[in-house]
Amino acid sequence: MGLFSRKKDAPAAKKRDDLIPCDRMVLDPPQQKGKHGYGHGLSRISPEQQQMYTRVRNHFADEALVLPQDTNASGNDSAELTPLSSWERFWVSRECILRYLRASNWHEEEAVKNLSETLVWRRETGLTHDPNASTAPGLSAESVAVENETGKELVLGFDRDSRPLFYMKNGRQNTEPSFRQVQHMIYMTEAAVTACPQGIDQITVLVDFKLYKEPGIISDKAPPIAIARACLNVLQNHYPERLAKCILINIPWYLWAFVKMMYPFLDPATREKAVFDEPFEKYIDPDQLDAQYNGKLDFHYKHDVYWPDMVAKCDASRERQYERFSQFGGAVGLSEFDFKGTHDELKYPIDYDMSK
Amino acid sequence: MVWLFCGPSSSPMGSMARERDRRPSAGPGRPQLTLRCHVGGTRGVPLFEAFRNCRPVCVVTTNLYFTGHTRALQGSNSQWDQLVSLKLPRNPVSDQVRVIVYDIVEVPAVTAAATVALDRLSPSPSPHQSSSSVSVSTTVSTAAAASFSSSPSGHHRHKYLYVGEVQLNVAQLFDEGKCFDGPWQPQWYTLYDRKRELEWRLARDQRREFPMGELQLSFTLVASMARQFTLQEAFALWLETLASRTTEKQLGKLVPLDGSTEVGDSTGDNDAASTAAAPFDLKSLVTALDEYDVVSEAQLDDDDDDEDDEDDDALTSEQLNDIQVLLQEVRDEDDDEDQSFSSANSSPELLTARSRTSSLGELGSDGYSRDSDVSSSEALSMADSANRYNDEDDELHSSDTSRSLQFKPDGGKLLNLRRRTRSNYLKRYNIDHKSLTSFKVSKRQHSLGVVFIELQSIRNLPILKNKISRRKYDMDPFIITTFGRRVFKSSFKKHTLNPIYNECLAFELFEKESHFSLHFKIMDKDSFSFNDEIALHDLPWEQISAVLSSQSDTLDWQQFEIPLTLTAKKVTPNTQQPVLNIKVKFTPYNLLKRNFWKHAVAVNSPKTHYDFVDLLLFLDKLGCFTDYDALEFFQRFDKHAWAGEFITQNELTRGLETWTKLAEFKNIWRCPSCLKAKKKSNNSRKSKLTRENDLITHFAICCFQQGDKVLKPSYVSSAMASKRWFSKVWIKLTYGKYALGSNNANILVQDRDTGIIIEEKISAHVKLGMRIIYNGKGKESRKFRNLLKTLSVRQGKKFDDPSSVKQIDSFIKFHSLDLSQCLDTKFNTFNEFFYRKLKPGSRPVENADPQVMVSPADSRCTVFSSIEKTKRLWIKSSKFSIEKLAQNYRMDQFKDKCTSIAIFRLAPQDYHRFHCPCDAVMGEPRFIEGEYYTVNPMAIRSELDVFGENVRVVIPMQSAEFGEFLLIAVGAMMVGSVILTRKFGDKVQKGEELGYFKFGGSTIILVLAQPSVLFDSDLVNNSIEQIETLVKVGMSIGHTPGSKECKRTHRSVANANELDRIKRTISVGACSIRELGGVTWQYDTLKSLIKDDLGTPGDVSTKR
Repeated sequence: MGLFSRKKDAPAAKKRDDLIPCDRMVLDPPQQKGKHGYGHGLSRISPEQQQMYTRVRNHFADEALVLPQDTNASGNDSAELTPLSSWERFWVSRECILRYLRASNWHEEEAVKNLSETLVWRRETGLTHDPNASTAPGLSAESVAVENETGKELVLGFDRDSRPLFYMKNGRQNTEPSFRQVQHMIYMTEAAVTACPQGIDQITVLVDFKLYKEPGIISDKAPPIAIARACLNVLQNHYPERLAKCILINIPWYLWAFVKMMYPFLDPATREKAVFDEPFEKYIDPDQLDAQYNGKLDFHYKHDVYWPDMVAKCDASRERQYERFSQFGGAVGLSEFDFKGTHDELKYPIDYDMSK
Repeated sequence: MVWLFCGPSSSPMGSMARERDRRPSAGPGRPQLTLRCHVGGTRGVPLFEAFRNCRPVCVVTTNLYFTGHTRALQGSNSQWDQLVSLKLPRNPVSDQVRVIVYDIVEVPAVTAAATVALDRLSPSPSPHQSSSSVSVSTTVSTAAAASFSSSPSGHHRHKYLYVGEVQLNVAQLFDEGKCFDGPWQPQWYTLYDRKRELEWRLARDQRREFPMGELQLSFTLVASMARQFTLQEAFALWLETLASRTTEKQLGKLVPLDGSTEVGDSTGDNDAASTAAAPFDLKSLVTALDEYDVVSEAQLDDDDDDEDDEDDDALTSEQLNDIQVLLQEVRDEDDDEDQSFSSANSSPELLTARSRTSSLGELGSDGYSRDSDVSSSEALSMADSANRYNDEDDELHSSDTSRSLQFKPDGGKLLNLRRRTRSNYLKRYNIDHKSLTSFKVSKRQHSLGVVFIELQSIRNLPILKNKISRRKYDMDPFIITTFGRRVFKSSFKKHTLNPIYNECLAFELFEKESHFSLHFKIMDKDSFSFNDEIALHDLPWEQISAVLSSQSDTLDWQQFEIPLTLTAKKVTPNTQQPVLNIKVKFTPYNLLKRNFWKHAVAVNSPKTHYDFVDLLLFLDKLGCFTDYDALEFFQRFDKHAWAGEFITQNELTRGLETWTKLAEFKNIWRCPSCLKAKKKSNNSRKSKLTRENDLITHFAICCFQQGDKVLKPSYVSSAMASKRWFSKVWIKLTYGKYALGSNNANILVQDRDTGIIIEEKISAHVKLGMRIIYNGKGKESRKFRNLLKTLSVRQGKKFDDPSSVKQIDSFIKFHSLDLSQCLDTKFNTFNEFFYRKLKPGSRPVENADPQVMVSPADSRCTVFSSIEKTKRLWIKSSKFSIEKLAQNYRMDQFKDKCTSIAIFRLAPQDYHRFHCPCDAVMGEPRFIEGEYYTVNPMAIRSELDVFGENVRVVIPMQSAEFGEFLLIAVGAMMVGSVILTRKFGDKVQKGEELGYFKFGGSTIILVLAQPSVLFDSDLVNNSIEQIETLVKVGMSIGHTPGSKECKRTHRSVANANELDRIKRTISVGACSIRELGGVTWQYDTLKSLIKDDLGTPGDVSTKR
């Protein structure tokens, strides 16, 4: 095998006769055999980590905590500072704090700093979901809808661990690089995150570089490096510990060469997460996978069907979670497990000790 | 955090012997002090007591190079009982003496690499063999300090195990003069482990002493020049120098055994600082040290030869190596202790000096560098070629200044960098600090701005008359505009006396050129004959800028009406004076910069508003930027990038102007207007005509179109611009390329005040003659030489004859001399006229500062920082050398590599007396017999060693500021004699007359030991381009490295006549030749002479 040649292509997709027609986003993952619910409850952490968690939670639960409205305000005394809204408290859930702690390698100050930064960033970007807050111009389902007309990004199906699948189809690009593209990416990531079922807070990203020749598609070129880097930074800084796996297929040769060269230098953790040119069905059950990738879902993207449906489903899911959050007391540090479930009793109260 | 600075013990490199070599003048009156240290032995050192196989050695040092050592003892015997002599530095910075005891450990070469870890001696001594049980930091640092190979290729490696040291102060040792009369009683001193002390301090943030035992020492002081000074006096003098040289005197304390156990030393002063520096990363320091070692070891190898002759002990090469390693050890150890390696004022400069070549500085407002490119490169090469050693004083200088340097706690990396910078740079090139540090750190040299001139029209040109038909006709005028080196030639307009041009020209204006003037010359283009000069005017730039700044809108075009002075002879004078109309605009650099970015932005992207992604994409086009950089932009204008807000194009432009990350602009090298890459290429750097080395000014000029024609500065001199095509072809065919500095017979001289480049004319037959003589070989040329000699002598005699007075008039006429400055206008002989005196005050000394050297003669001057360079650029003879030039006159001081040379060529029309360039005492002059070749550049730039073979007088001069230098008056063709008016031993003031030449062209050569003088940058610049610069007696030519360059003020040229006069000083005007019937006055004289003499007419050896 040559240095830059890719692995042997998977056997051509068979014509299946058991296709499941589908044109909308699915919210509920299939029931796992022998498992109750989709995910599992919170995992154990050590007592020190629990203490750390408590301190971080207390920091954000503090009523006196105020944060600036935009990212420019650091070092600016005159900046307007506001306390956390209820939607923000909803966002700062137990899992969220744990994610930031894990991402910062259980470094307390760093986690607090990163979390605050994300809160401010979400305010500036207009991701608070707060209907009362003045939403920033741009980032709404309507404004980014046009970006998804060819279905270049999709949330569809779940992998074997019930994580939602986030498709990114580079070859379905329909617009020139713009800020809206970045916003669209943020919007879709948010949607994918919202689609996480109970007990799951990670997503699987499937990247397909294949060029689709359909009306409306203008290029299969990867976005400019600068934008790609900016997007990557957003995902890294503001969606930490959200990526479970990233599977890339149909990689163009130059990218493939680059990947091959860089592979030995990648961080082992990252390396583990990234999968290059392996068939999706290796990781995903066929009945959750697009038929195009050898799955059973006979999915054809229809923008006017999929998009309003996805927006509505995400909003509804979020609303429902927020309602349950308010119902359980509306405090910082409630568990997403509780929001997402259907049970009536609070499983993880605020002072629940995860080290026991 | 305060940087640990160089303690007094750390010291400069350099050796006394070299010092004496290089700078004979350092102190003729100052005695040399020698410290004699009798090293008895040690007692109570646990290492030596516990181990029988130690080889103790004791090193006495005042600084890094001034080091003496005892022999290495065997078998743990630590009784040296040996006398170590140590010269005290002449220019001391510290009076500290360190006596360090080492143990030499021999390690087989194979295992040497493996056994890097040498255990440190502790109060309970552990075996000093490779041990992995010691803590990491100790291991590493010990290894760094102790592992040096003594013989790079040998079988054994020596490791010098640091045992301990005694630090003493000379001042205190000898206060009250107690030991001047005879050897001092030996005393026991406590040996301290300073290294460990430091480590302890770094690691634990507290002081602790580590006494290692005792050492018996006694001291004596010896002074040279005992006839003139008593020891006490000498010592007092030395202390005085010391006091004057140390900015903050660091007092050490003597540590006698019976005294208190108080340890006071230089490090005590630094203690506060060093404790503050506790979190300093020792490990990184050590890695830095490791790198350092490699380099400096290599350097030591280079220095082998020099070390040899300076070591008075007869040493085997192995022992020698030992010393070097010891020195190395000492130095390294010093560093360890004091971290003296950051020489604050040199390293940032060095960094920028190098980064200047990178793109950073080009657009940058924040690139700091030395005054000008040329001067810095000059300095570097000077240091490179000359001074292989760091001067001790300089080192200390730089460390002194580093004292105020602030350092960050995480300075490990920076430290490393600095270290590397210095080790790479200084060690490799051994840069002389003095020459480096004397340049002031200034903003990168870019032009002041761009001058735009529109040549509009000329009114009222005179009507010309044809010589043959005597018909009046209208001319075809064109304009030659000269500013410094830039020559622009307009198109010609047919048959008009009121031509309208509307042609534009634009050029960069540099600060050093701001006293130059714009010179306009109106020419008449002839179809068949040579072009005729019609009128000219000279407009000083200062005058223009005064007008420009007086108007309300200083950036707008300003109309100028320039009255022209007619020079053409055969004209029917118009009733009205001809007037040249021009418009001038000057745009300063900062405005250009803004303009540039505006265009760059507009060209690169048509948007008016930029959101986050637009900005990212835009920056991507310019170079490598991250999204954080883009966010910074938004932050600056308080826009919210993530909320999708925009910044406007104006804001972007403003942001880019003040952007500091200029190194990132990788793709901006293309001019947005003409799309030509403007990155400095080899080609463009070599090109001598383009001065647009800056994209911003290039862009300004490039964009300046206005629909009119823009002229290009494509001529070397205005004379060339006014030539007809056939003359150019002829010149090209006969002499090759006409360009600055090309080796041809065109001698180009730049007037220092006006910046005009003028070609010095030599009549064609003279050129031919010279070619025959100086390129010919064999009998013929020898005949010619003899002829020249007889002629010169004869001519000299003839000109001493009263009958020669007749020739004065024709001489004056030929050279258009101005006798108004002459003291006496009555001459008895021609020679008397030739060495005429000027009225007192007509050649004032430009700068009274004794640190500034002035020109010794009215002459054409070239300066070079080394003989090597001289030979490469100017004196092309392979036989030329300083030894030959000065006939081995005190050749120990002037070596080819480290000698600056200044050549002052006097032409026949010049004032022929030479003056003293600085306050100095005259030594014994030496007359050297020789040939009488011409000193014309044409001959200088041939194989013939003119300076080495001509008759000459070598006058050694002794100056306090510049040391000893030689003033060599070289006689030339027909100069029978050089007459000195001062004699041996005279004290001569700067600018005072030294002597004079009798008839002919001749040359003064100044030979200076290198580090003592830095020549003015404009002279250096011109010399590199092989242009001579016209200087006058009293003009500054150079300065000591310690002082600043004399800033030239403009001596405004009052009118066109004055300018013409300048030109005549340089060259003989064509018109005067014509007036004299096309034959030079000498020609006639010589012809008759030769006829009388040889009977054969020879038109070869004519003038000069």
